[in-house]
Amino acid sequence: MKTHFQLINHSNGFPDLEQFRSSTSGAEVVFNGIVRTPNKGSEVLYLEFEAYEALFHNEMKRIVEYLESQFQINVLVLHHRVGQVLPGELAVVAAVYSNHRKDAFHACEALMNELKATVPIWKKEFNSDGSFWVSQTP
Amino acid sequence: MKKEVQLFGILKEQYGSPVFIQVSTLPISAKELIATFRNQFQEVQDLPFLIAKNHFMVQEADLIEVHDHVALLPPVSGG
Repeated sequence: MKTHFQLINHSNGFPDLEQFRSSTSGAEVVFNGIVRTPNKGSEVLYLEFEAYEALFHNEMKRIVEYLESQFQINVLVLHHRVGQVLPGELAVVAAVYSNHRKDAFHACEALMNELKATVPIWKKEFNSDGSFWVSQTP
Repeated sequence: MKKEVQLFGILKEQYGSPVFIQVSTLPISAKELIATFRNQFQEVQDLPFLIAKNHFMVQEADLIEVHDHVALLPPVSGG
């Protein structure tokens, strides 16, 4: 299985997914996470993402082992923004390439669930009422 | 002795990073280090967080040695 994980500083820094396609993968499932506004009644001005890069890559290796044990996957891609991200901009792109759609769909969902549960990335929301750290896990 | 600890997210905003935790001895378990941190930075009593050693997540029973890189991780929120 091929993998490609990257933390990205700029809104135009997301790599083209075309490079991960091949004739052996009959399915490509892509999740695009976009900064949304409003959130809980407040206008979101921007999100600020911070990551622990060395642990990010080690956690992704652990997630790869888990996903590989559960699904048939040819390529696994995760690109996540760090720094300031505006509403309407991509915060995360997850892509899974598999022989068949079922594994690709389920693996992509599982990848996002793992991301939100354990991957060391933190998000602070700045909105029209102030700011707060978003707390999800643990 | 003091143990250097890297902080992230809300912990980093509140205390800066790195911080130095006063410990009586090393090695010390991750659980004991977390308890010591909570004792010295009491505003975080209710905040759950995890600990990483040398850029890997560790369990509470794992030992922290003198030269280990240690980071305390508040709740993650990627995506």
